[in-house]
Amino acid sequence: MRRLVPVLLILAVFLPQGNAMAQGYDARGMAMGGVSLSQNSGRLYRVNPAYKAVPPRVAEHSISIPIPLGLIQFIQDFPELDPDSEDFSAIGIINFISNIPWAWEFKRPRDPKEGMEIWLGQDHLVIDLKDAQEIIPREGYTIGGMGHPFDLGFKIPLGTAGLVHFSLFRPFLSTEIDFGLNDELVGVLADADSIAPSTDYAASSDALMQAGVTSGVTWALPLWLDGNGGTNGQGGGFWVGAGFRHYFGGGYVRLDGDLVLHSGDPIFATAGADTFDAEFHADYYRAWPNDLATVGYGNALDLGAVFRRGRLELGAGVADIFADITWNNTQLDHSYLDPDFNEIITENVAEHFTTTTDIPVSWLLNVIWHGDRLVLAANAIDQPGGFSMHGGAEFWAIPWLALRGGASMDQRNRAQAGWGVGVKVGSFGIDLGFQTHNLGLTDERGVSMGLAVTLY
Amino acid sequence: MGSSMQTFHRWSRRLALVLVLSLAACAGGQIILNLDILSFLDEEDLDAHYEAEFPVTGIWLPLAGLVPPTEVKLMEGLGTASILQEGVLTVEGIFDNELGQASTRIEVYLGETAEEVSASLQPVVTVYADLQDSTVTPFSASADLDEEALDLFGNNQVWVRLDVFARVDGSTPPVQVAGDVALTTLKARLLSEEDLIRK
Repeated sequence: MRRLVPVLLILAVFLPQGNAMAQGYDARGMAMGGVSLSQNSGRLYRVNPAYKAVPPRVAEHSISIPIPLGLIQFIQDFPELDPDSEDFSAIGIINFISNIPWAWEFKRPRDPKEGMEIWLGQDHLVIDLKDAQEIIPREGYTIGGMGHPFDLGFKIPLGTAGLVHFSLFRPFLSTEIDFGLNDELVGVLADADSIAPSTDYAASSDALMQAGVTSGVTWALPLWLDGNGGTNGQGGGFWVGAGFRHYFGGGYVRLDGDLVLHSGDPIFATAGADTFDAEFHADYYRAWPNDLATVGYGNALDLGAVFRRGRLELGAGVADIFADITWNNTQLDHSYLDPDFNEIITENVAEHFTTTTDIPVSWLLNVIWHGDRLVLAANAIDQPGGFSMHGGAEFWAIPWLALRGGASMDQRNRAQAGWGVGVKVGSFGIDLGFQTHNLGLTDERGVSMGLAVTLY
Repeated sequence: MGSSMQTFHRWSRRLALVLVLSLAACAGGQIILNLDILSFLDEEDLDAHYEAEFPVTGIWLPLAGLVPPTEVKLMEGLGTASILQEGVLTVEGIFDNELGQASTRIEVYLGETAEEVSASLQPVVTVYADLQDSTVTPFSASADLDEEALDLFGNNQVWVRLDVFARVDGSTPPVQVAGDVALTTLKARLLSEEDLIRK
């Protein structure tokens, strides 16, 4: 287990990032740069409650069934887990896990394999991590995600008053991780700067993971309708939606830690002297219900609107407004480095007290232009894990062949591209999409390939 | 970050290794450690003036005491974190000889303790240089470290000693030799093919 500790540490830091940045399973959306095209898309549905009442366009009346090519690759290329094997690479494992096994990994980012070189003298210490320098977070990381694996509920149509959707059981898992290094430590690790005498090298991390279920009700209705709501490219409508959601917290853990190393002068002093003075502190909060009275609780508000006129559609939504969860059964432990024994001591500080955790707000702006042969779409979304923008186009060059392309700026502010084709024969179609990504730890891009069967 | 930092506590040098390698250990490939041994030595031990009269020819005699047994600190944990597989020790210096002609032999010894390095008769590196009247003569040599010497670098410290011998040939004794000798480089380059995470 000791051998795998670094792997687990890095997994803990980076895996949520991969999940948060995970690209869609939809081959059409991948080919168009990751845009959300219909209200069946999870992002539109989750962030903008008005979409619950918006009728889909006729051209979007289809069912897309993704083919899990990635599972084949997952079985074929399962990474070596034995640390004693020549093929073992922890970063390779992280790259592997942080990519979606659903899509075929057409091109995987390479793993850092150049090793490292250290120059050590009494007054200097230089560490060149070579290609592994890429994984050092120069600006720190603020990463995370909000996942809802499913939503059990039902809706009641209200005619011209829209509809009411009841969400009875909607599990959630929210993760947020802030991780940072001070400039001096970044210089040492990412630029191979020499460790300087009498200098502080600091790292800090604040990680929060919380889970539970939500229940709520959403009302979405058209305030204005022209014709059939623009489903066939004529007429339009203006829909608004509002949702209230209650959070039932099933538990949370939070680790807030700091590590500071203070270098000696000279760095390597006389025999018997220590090179670094160190301070380590960490607060470890955790809470889970012992009974119904200690279940976490909180409320959230979602608001959204959609405007459709002819071929144009605009949407704006905000989710998890005022969202937080109160926990009545929190326990706090404090860990610190004991300078006398060079051991990390953990002490229980408090039990059964109340804490509150935040659920980050998400918002989404989207625009879609739906022509006869051309579809243009773009959206900007800010959600746990970061802000991203997507844009793409679909052009039906001939009645049975669609050409697709798109671009995006991902949550790490890196440009990505998508491309692909769609073939339609009668009521049957196949979509093939490619999308670049930086889901691995290194700067090198990978390319995912999605395949889907579409029933029109 | 909620924690305050008020005082620094002394901790082990191992932390340096842990900090660096916890981020880098996952990368495979070769690990190279370039150890500047010279930087750990006392400056006054790095050069010496010699004046010697050789009563006989053909016999090696001590010329100057350059580096007495000296401890060199290493990164704690290196030895336990990696297996050193190759190593090269390099020594460089210069003679500024003022008087006499002689052959010189510079020997570098390594040991686990002061006693061991003092008693060692097996130098790790030996370099020869011929001195002439009023001539500056550099010397340089590198040698591969054997398994026993590599093991020393797996410890938290290694002891080093450097001796200079001279011999005169062909002249009629006694022969006077005088000048200065300085050590300019003493370094080790250690390689490990092992992935640190496997340790």
